[in-house]
Amino acid sequence: MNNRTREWWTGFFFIVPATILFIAFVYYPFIQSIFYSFTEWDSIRPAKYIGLDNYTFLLEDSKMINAAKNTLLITIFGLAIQNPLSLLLAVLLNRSFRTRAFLRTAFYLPVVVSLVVTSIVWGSILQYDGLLNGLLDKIGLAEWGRDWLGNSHTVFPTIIALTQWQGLGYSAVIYLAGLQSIPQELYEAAKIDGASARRRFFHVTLPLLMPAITIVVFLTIVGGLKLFDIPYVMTGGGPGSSSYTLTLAIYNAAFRENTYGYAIAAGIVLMIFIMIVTLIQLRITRRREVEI
Amino acid sequence: MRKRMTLLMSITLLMAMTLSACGGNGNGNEAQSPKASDNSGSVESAGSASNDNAFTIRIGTWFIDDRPYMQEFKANIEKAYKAKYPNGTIQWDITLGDTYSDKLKAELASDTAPDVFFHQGQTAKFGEVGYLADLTGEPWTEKLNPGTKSSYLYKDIVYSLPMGVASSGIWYNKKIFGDLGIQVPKSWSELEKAFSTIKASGITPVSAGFKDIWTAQMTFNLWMQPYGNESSQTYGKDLYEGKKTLEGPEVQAVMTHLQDMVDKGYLNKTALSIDWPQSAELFTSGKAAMIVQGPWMPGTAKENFETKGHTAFDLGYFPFTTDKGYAKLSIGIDQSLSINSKTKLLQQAKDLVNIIASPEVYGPFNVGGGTVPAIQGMQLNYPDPALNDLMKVVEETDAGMGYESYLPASAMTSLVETFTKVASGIKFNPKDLAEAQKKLEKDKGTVIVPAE
Repeated sequence: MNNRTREWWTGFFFIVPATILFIAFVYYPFIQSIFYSFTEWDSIRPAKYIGLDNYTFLLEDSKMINAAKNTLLITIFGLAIQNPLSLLLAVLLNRSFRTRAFLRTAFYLPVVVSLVVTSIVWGSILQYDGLLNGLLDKIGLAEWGRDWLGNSHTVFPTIIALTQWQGLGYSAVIYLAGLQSIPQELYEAAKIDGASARRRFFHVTLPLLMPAITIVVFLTIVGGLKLFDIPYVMTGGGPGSSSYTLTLAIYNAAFRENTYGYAIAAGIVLMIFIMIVTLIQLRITRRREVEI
Repeated sequence: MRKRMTLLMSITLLMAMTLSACGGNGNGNEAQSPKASDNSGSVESAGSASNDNAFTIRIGTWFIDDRPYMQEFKANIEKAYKAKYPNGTIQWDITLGDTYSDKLKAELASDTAPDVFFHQGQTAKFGEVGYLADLTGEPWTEKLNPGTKSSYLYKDIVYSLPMGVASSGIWYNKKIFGDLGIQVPKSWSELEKAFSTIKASGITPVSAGFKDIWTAQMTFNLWMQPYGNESSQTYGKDLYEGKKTLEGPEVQAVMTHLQDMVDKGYLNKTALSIDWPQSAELFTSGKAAMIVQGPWMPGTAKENFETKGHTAFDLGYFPFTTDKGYAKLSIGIDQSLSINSKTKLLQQAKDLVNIIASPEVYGPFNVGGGTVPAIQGMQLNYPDPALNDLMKVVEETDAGMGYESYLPASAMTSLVETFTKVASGIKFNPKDLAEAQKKLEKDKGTVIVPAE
């Protein structure tokens, strides 16, 4: 055996265990789940083939449609509100001032703390007799008080606000890292050329920040489309079905309603949708990236 | 280099062999058995366990917690089993909460389930796929209450021991009712009058904790049972067969009454954001006059009086009634006990179930939980007067299996979602019920019609 063959075999044996594990625990269940998406299956009795029924019912299921609307809304809010806010926050935290380190920690803290823990804490704050309503009462706005999570009108805006609060620090940290990688000389050169702060931001900072923007936009889209834990812990999708997200509706279809075949079909549609959206997004943002 | 290569190849081969054993068929699993015996015990003594050989038998459950009567139940079983099998050890696989059911399904599918296990309403499904051992002919099977047939029988074979018949309903504070001169309501209109009087006195009429979805589901089902059965004695079956629909006047009546209650402030404002223990506290603190709960409520109240500093009061019980005063109790079996058909300790497992079915173990369990024995002929003494109130109502009132046993879980979920939506203050829209009906038609195939 010559050196080259020996190297090839060594490499081969290194990747075999991981490949087997990947096939056994990722590809095999995935391929199997495609089959189950065409069946009526309750995870106990044998699956019964029903063709495309699960997929066609997705279009008639008002709960799934409502969950899809909620999911899109969360994603759009993430892109339109959380994204620019986190960029602004990063720009501010990139300046030098005395409480900078403290503020950086404070904004990043929600990311570090478990989502389940923050959901429980916020749940108690937002209860009818919770801290928020108590505060409103103290400042003379008692009539504004309501059961924020138990009211069909307020529950979803509340969940959107919480997801934005939770994700703000994470995106800001990515932007901060991007900002710190931009060489100061470029700003100095722009200043000498007479560029205003606004021009420096749009013509130096923003183009060079595109790789960070690509990542943040990607994570915001994916995170929004697969949001599960906050509504799961705080509302369970209720009241009614007003705070369902797609992943929560899929989870309930499987584990609460025992319609596993239907849940898998919905999961596959969601996966395809996420793939398409993220591919388009990566194409758009990557094209605008600039290298120094 | 060659040594390293040999080592690498050996590791890779070993890993591949381990993985193929994991993914193998039934034979592969059997090959793994001796290793699994460390935990299961049932396999350790496969086929050879007797009074002389040491063995461990596994029992799976989700409800045995720190409550005194649960600990007594566990101790009684262990004591009686030790007397029967001095060398037998019971291994308790306790997973509290909802995850138990998912875990059990996975264990049954992978042949790793406990020898004996409790489950909730799965007799027909598990029986159909062959997960359960035939218990027909065991001494207690002849005495089972035929009214609970659907919980233990599938195709004329006994697969489960129902642990007791639970009847849930409306528990009330006798002191508040007495102080306000309210008689036990016999119809919906009388109940409404009681709500109004209680509300006027500054007390919340009903405490609800719908953050726990099961409480909303239980309330809805208990309410539906008389409304549905008043219109047809076979309401559940009629829904299943398409003779009635979930968009019909029965469901609409309940939703409309709920909306009326919400509009008039008869429910606590926190109804959607507190869980069942918080709602129980609201009731036992005397801030609310009624609560819809199961037979465990008197026990919980007693505990709250002792530990939360609430002033003790007597509890009373009455069922949901329709506008015309018709009542029908919903009989529910909270826990059923079965034997894994794949157990290697079949006789030992049967003996364990027989011990649990004995009056010394089964009786105190029912007394503690406030349930009526599903094994007939057991005369029990319920020390809590509130439970005697419940037993009296159960004896005097028409009762039957819940209409919901004919519905797929998806339709039930949809109904409960409409119920909580109305409870949250959104005006009831009859069109919302169309989704439940659609799900009923779509997922009818997942329902196994209960034994009659």
